[in-house]
Amino acid sequence: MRKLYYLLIFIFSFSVLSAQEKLTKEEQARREKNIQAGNPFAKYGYKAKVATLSKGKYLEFHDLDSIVTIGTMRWHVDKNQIVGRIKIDTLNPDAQPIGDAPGRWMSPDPLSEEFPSYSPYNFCYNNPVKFKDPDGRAAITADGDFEPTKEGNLRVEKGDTPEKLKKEYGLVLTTGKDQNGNKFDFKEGDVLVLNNNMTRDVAQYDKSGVIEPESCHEAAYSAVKGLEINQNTAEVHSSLDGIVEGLSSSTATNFAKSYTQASSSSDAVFGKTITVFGDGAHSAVFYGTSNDGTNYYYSKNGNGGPPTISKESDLVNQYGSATYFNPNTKK
Amino acid sequence: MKTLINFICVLAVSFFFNSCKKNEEQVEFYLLKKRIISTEGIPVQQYAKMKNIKNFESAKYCSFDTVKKQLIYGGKFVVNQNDLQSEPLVTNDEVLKLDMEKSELILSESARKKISQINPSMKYGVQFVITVNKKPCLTGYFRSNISSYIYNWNYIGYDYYNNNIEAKRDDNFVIRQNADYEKWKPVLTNLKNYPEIIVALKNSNRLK
Repeated sequence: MRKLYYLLIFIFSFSVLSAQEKLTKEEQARREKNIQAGNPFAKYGYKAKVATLSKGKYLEFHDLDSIVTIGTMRWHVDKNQIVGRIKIDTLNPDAQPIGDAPGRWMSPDPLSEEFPSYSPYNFCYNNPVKFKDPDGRAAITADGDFEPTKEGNLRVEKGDTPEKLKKEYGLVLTTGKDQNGNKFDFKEGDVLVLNNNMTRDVAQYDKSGVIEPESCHEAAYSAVKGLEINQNTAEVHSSLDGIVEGLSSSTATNFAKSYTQASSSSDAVFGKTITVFGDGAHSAVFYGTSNDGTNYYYSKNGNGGPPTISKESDLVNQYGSATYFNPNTKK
Repeated sequence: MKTLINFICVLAVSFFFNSCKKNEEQVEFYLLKKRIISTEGIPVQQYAKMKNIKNFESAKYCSFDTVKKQLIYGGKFVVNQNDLQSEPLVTNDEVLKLDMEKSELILSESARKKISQINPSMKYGVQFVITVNKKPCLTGYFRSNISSYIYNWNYIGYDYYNNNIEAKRDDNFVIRQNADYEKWKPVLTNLKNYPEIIVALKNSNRLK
């Protein structure tokens, strides 16, 4: 019986030892070099113990040398010249990815359908200054924004400040009181009640139930002019995307001339940007971006529909992809 | 000989009864094989060519009223039998009633479901025809209830359902028209202008 135990212990030890990765001398040296690249005391000749995740299999420390790798080039940053080229050894399974290879996208964004206006390979809507993406799922604003409510008011989110309110919404509020004299001190979750032409439109429908018969385009044009929708302000009948000189009215054509297409929603301005959805199927006015990156719009969905504050994703689902138009005057 | 006489009698009686059975007229809804341009105004493609207007893609299915200088998105159109799709969208069995007073068609649940799944065109609508025994009688558009475009010809507003959107606004299939194509002011279509449909539904006891 005792012999059996010895045999089992021997087999166990043998299998544990044989399971260890066998490295060639060259590979061991390469890994040691990778580890020591992170040794801050190397210049003093001291070999410190360096914490790594891959035990040197991958280079985990940035190269701060004067010679850097860009693609397959070795570039001397002081001399501003190429000092060497790297040949990729495709047969070596331990070969390191070089240059920009680690930065390439390996697959399209699995959430790309949620952001149809953007390439499935973009990072932070191509605007890493405004947005951040801490968990890799979807970009969120880097420094907090207010979240519009369905009434068009603003709910304070983490990081929201009076400066932000002024920058994004053009509202000056530093006294601790809102426009209605109610106490308001930028605490997370607080709702700032707004009183503008768009909130009045939404409230008017909620109270009366009477729907103005204007189209989404007419409602949007009224809104950017600071007007509430009614028969007198309904001047433009066509979407900015669908105005054709010679076919559209002169009012619509002139209006279109005062707008320029913006590259993305990050350039959109509260109450000023008109966003066109689909092939001119719908127009809505930009109403801000919440902390999670959701864009909101003042939108009248159809002649028979009430004015609402809607999410961009809902409008895209209903009408098609978004194109942004900013007034030609500077922000 | 006697057997033959009996057989002829039975045959005659059966013919008699069969001839008494009246064939019900078939009222059906058809979608069209391709878009038919309205007969109102002048087709945009033609007008653009005349006036050398380029980039009119965003209005390619419209007509143009050269007097009022207005685009016509949902104007009157005429079809013949060759324009209809091979299978009806709504079959005769699915047309339950017609409420003349409200210009409202009462359709079966299966028909409602089929209509609510028609992919909407917010600008141009989806053209349909109501036929009686496959003869086109009433032309019109299925118009999404969230569209901002005005159709001055017959239209039925509907809510489009897919997996993402469930915006329910209207359960009724009312046939309306708009007084013009400048201001949204819908009125009920006068169905007395379509006597074939009225007669067909009256004969099958489906008129409310």
